[in-house]
Amino acid sequence: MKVLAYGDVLDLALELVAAGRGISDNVVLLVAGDQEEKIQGLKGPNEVLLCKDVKSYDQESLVELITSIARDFDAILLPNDRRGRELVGVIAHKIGGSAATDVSSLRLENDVILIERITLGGKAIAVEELSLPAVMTIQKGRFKPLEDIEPEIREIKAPKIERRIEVLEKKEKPRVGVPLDKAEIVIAVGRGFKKKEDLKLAYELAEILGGVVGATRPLAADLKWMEEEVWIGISGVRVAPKVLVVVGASGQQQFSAGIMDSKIVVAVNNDSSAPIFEHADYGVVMDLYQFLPALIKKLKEAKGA
Amino acid sequence: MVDFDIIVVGAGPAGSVASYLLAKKGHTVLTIERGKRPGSKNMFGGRLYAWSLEKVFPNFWEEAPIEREVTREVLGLLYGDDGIEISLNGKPKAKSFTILRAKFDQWLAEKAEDAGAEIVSGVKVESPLIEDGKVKGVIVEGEEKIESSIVVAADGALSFIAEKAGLRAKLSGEDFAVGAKEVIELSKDAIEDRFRLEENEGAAQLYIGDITEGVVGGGFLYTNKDTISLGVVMRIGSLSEKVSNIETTMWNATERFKSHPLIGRYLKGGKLLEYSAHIIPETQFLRGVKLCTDGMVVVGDAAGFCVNYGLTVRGMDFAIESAIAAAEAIDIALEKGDTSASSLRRYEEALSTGMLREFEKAKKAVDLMEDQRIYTSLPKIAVNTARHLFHVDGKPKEGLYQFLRRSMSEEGISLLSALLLSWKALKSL
Amino acid sequence: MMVTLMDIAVLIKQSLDVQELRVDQDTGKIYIEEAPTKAGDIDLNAAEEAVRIKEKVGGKATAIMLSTWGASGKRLKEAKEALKRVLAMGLDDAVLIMGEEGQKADTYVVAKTLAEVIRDNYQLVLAAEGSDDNFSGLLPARIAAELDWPFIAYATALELEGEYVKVTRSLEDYEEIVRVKLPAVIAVTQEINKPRVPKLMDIVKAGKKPLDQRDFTPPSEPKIAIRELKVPKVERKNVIIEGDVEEAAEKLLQALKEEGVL
Repeated sequence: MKVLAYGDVLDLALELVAAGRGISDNVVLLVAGDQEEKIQGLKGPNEVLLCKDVKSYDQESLVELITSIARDFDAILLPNDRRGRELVGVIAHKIGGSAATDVSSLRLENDVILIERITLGGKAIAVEELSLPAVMTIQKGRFKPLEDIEPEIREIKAPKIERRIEVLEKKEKPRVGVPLDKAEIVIAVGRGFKKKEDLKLAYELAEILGGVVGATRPLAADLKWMEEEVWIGISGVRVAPKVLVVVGASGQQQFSAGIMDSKIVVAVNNDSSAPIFEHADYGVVMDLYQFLPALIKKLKEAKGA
Repeated sequence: MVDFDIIVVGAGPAGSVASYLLAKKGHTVLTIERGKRPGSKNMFGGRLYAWSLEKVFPNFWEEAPIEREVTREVLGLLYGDDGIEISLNGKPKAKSFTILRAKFDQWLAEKAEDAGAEIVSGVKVESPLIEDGKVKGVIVEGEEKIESSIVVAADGALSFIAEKAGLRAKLSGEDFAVGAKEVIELSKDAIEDRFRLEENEGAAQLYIGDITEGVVGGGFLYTNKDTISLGVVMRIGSLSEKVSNIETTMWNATERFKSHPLIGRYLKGGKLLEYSAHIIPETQFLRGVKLCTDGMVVVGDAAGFCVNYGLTVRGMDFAIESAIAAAEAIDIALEKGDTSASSLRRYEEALSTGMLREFEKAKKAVDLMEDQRIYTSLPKIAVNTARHLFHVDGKPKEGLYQFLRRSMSEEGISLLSALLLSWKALKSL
Repeated sequence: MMVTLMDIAVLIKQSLDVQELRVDQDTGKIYIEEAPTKAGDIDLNAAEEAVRIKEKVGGKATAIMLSTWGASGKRLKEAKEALKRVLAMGLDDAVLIMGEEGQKADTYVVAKTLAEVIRDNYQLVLAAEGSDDNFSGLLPARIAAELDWPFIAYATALELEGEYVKVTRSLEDYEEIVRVKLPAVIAVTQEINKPRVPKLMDIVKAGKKPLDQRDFTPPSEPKIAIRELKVPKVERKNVIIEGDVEEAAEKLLQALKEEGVL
């Protein structure tokens, strides 16, 4: 059993290496682009393959590069972000392999890899048998990077490709401070806020608590009150903070599946029958416009004292 | 050129039966259902008396998704933590079944579809299309006009189609009762064991007493295959004087009913699957309704064909009967090429010789049921009398007659009116 | 190949209606058989985009579905209903592939089957970035690989330029505008458009549009097997904090301190 891990963000790539270690003693990390300096002193994988002439995200080149070395591996692990999810199906099909996304755990059983992944809109976890070779995307935050092995670094050349996708323009999206999925305290806002300006209550609370603000899908994607990147849910960002305060969100399945990994969930909603209360440790059945100011005031007093 | 011969608004039992019969006669039928699919807005169960549907589909129970055939009828009087149950066991000649509407309505709609009716779900009809004082079709959301020779309003108790066509007045609380229903999951074995049933046999159990806290109404339990439909019905008219929040009142009454020791025993270990409150039209309302106008007829709950006897609510069998009569009249009207109100009046005439008579009686029964003492004094006296009869504590007992006299005078009831009350209560079943 | 008119294949999945799926937390039972199915939500965005392209440049758009729910009457009816939904939006015809063997089919098998339907007949494949029930997004990628056509996912805007299509692709931290020569496979997100609500008469007429139903015979063995579906267990305390606004705020902060999270 030999595993290849690829991820263009090194932190994430090391999580993949750790995931791979669960099924193999030989995990090779593929690093693309201009990252030679960054990989010095890096620990975890048995070997690092560095391919300088493929840019960090260039789908066509990556597909070609990974498939060209795939025959040496039984499993290929990719990050579960949009880059990884775009690659996984294409690579799997080109090498005649099995594929899975959203993988949260994996182990080897005889000649198949047994994985768990969330499915059915967050209502179920599927246990799937993947035949070899297998290509999969691994959920973020599931595996702790290992720092045991000091790998050999080997440079490889990218195969020549005939380009079909031409990038005309590239635009950075505005950054949103601490990424939501890494934040320790998250305030999630929903349709209970009547206008965009009122969100300042949530931002104020986040500031005092040292947290960040996320939103339900309607707020982020439909009303566009906030960046799409802060949309919490099964198909958006999955959060795993110590405290999640959900304000004015009813708790649709879609949303609730994205908060399952939170340690403590607090829900504020004036509708006592809102499903969010089933997903909460502490529920406050009150109008957010009354409760948030009171909470903010209490926190300020506590800080002042 | 109309788009369809007939547009049926609503795919409940009345709408689907009308659609089925008319499609089978070769007419083009469009049935518009507001819910996601037929039955989807009706998660709950109920009891269907077979007599009317049997005329359309003989032995339908062999094929339709029925739950159980009712073979056990129970009347219960509850007071405090105690209660009396009177049961009748055995297979009646006139069959009735417990059903779950979500499945049953879908089956009926499929029958209509197989017969050639076009059923479109998830679309709301905004109003009838009225031109020159005649109904010429419907207007659906998005201001889309669809024309037909006849519109059948089968859109349920709150039918605004009938209202907008001027066939019925705006409704007030007096016209309705409120029902709260729950579906509770229980194993098939537990149901058959607790309700003393054989396989496929079902129980229909009705209760009056202090659970409704003096409000006209009662509680019911119906057994399905592996669930129980349970609920409380209360008369809105008498409710609105006493309470401000109907929803909370209904919820509390349902909780009281469920936690009564006698009822709780049936439900032990069961799991709540659904809860909802909904509106049940009352017969009185029929007084103001017209069944047809030029180009349109009203059937089922939309026409108020629902009798709340206080304890039992009967609607589906009447709804189906009205749909049969309406379909016949429409078929003849289309054949003649005359869809005016006078041509459609055949529908009303057909009902007046049968079903409407039943309604006249029902109206009287309902009036009698207004006597609130039936829901308070009667169960109290009955339960206390039974306690007096059966409980032994070694102390000398007051004679039964004296006991009864004293209990009744405490409630301010004479012996004669007690007998009358009991008679009324029994009649209301 | 000279493409004058655009022929588009829109992949429609018969997805489980997960909102209506019942799951029993206590027994761990998932009531899949009882839950209805429907066209995936984002499939409607793909269909809408196809109709918009058609309105601009003409051509034909076909809804293509491979049902993986077996061949029961109920699931067949639902499959047809789902297809009728997108036909009512303006797609021209539909291909429905269905059979008992479908229940074992994974994305590998489905892609192999659908690629044969698409090859030589269409120049553009539009699909959803993920389905309502599984949300893996693997199928369009596999179809692209099988056909050896370029694949672009997470499309938030599409524009046709002759034999090329210009796509805005939205990734986590940036978006890019790319251009690709047809044929191609493109997976769209929900943000790309707002699917139209079909007129009632369009729904009625959709029932009369051509629907080509074919039996499913798997072209190969699947690569994955689902061994089990489990209900995720998350225990929450479900404490409702009572009192007036001031008290509730105080009690909440106290509780969070006791949890050691503040």
